[in-house]
Amino acid sequence: MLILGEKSLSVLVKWILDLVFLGGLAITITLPYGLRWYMNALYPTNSENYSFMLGFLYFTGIVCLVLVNEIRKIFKTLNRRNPFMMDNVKSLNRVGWACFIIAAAYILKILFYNSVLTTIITMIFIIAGLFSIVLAEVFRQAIEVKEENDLTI
Amino acid sequence: MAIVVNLDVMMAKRKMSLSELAAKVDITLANLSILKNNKAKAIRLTTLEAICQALDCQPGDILEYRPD
Repeated sequence: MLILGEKSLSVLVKWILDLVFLGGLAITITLPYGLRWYMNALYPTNSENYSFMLGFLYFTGIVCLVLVNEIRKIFKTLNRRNPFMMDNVKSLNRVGWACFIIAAAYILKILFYNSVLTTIITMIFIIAGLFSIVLAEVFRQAIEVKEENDLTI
Repeated sequence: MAIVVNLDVMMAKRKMSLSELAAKVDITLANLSILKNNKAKAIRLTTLEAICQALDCQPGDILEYRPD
């Protein structure tokens, strides 16, 4: 199976990311209704406070949308077969910091309403953030090598 | 950069155009322009060989060391 280029895995991933972005946008917009429905009908035994959860989910939701949008931008350049550009380094750094902001919000939530799932999500976001920052530096070095290679005749 | 590429001098001597040389050396016109305008960071020995062959000259005729 093709990884890059037309009709490849990266195009499929970009398509999935578009769906995730639109879905996330829809959920964020309808959050007050969705959260009430979730708390009353689906999970009535929960102990979480409605307004705290609303604020928490709005904040992490918007940061998450920014994060997914940055990854979409990276995949757009991947599909154009030119991923080694400075914009992608900036995007990866932004993804990293968005991950850290979300992790910080989840650590705050652990203080009020702890659960195993919350802890796992916090750890995943911290590791994803570290990974993105390192990957951004790898991309930056790759750009230097590519420029050197482009100017070797 | 103290190394100067004097490609245009040799091309004028041999009365060869840029596109003609690009076709003979089998590199793109864009890359040959980079070389001619001293924008290149490095030159492959195979490229140098092909240019010398096409222009019938020595590497010293194309490359020159000029201290700044």
